[in-house]
Amino acid sequence: MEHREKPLLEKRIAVVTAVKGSLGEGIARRFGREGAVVVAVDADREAAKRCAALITDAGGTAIARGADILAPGEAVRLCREVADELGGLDILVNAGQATTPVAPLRDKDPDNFGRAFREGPLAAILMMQAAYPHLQARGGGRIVNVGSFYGPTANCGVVDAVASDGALAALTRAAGVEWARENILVNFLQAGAPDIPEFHAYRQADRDAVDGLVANLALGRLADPVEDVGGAATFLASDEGCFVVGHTIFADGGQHLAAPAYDPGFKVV
Amino acid sequence: MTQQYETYGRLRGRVAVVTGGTKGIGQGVVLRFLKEGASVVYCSRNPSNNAENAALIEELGAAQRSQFVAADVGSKSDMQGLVAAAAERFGRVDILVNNAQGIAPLNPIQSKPDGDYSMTLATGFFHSLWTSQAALPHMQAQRYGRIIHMSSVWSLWGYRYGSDYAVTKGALESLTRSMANEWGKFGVTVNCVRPAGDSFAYKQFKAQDIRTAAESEAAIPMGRMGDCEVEIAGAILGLVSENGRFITGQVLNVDGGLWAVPPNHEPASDVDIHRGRAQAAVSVGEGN
Repeated sequence: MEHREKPLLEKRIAVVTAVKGSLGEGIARRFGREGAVVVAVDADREAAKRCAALITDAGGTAIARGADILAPGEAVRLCREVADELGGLDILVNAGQATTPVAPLRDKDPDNFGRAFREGPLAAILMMQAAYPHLQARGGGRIVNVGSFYGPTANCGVVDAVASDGALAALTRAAGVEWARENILVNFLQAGAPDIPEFHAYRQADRDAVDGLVANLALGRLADPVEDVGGAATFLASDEGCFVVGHTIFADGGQHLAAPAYDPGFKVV
Repeated sequence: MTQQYETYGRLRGRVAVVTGGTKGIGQGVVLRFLKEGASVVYCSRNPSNNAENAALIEELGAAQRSQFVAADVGSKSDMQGLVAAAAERFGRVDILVNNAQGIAPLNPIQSKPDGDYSMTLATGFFHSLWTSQAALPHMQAQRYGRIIHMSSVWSLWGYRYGSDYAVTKGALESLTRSMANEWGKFGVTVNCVRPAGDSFAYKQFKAQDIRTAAESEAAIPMGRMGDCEVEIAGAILGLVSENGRFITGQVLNVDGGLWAVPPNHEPASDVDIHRGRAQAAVSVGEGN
């Protein structure tokens, strides 16, 4: 870690959704280390508590909230309660992502697309709308939408995730333009394949081929959810990102320029 | 001279090289990096351009951590010398910001002189290539390097009458991706920034055509140009610091959202942002 005289997100109030997932958890933990007051949110209340505990155990400040963002009124209630309890809201990270069975498009259950779009873009939209008045009341804020952990170059077998990422990127661009004048900056963060158990399981199927793909990446390694993905999210949420709007940022060590390290449908199709 | 922002001492121990560091965005980067604790070596062609910087740096108490080099970004040996000066004085080269860009008058393609294309490519594309090549051995030995090239939304939409500039910026964006893929294994990240900053070149333009400038600013979703030191240099700081460690091969728009709003293609074709300056010597090492 580089030298720091003080943390980068000191006392900013940050809501991070879907912290049961590796990317949401990594970002929440990094924000905790950067001095933010983190609200760790997940539909699975125990998962939210585990994430908050990781942050507080490391000396940070966090509370947990169990919330089903997609339930009527839930996002509005969540943001209102956070703002009331903590005194405001500065940063929103939407890390929701459906996990659906890997299958080629011709066989994919259309409901998987429904889930992908509800848990990704729709949940993000509901949270953005719910957070908007609170961010506005602070004179601005930051929203980071987070894509799937397949990155932008996986295609086969995960078309629902890929399409959901595309929707998030477009949502981010349009919302970024609409809200920039109010200093509410919306950006899209797409990670490369992260170094997590799901990836290790995937790698077991064909270790040499997968290792070859990882070596093919510009930086030759997988993403660390806290250091790499959390670092890029901090970039977008801190002073550094104060003139970046509607953008897609890859925290992927160059994977957007290369074959994906994690393409779980590759062999299925 | 500018808005306040927080500093964190994040670049303490790092050595940065910035081309075209005496005005606008380059100056913002030099001052921001110094305030963040880095040692900075920067250039301009003419030593007299350094008077303002020297005073500001003295005020910061950072004179011992900085060095001005008189160098022409159109000259390969000058660019090699600039990087060598940083290594010699401070023992490392961690960060390279290729900011300078010579700018020729706006002219339709059919009448744009070959010399304008050559000058623009030399002072933009080639200077960035030369400094990067010179910095690589140091970065490779350190297993650490951060390279930033500078592009522009001019590379995006075929703006009229600035084809030489657009082509140069397009070349730099391609170079960014190739360099990222080739040098990542040495621990070097390479990114490109497309700023919309209140730069030296932009101020010149605004002085000549305030109406078009006002329209351009109104078109930016954030409603203004970015402050060189706060907003443009702030994002560059993010890319070269720990937060940017897994970001490589990318073109980052630091422009208040301008990239998402394609332009009205009606610039006044007679606007020359360097009107009144010697054309043969357009702003090399001074632009942006």
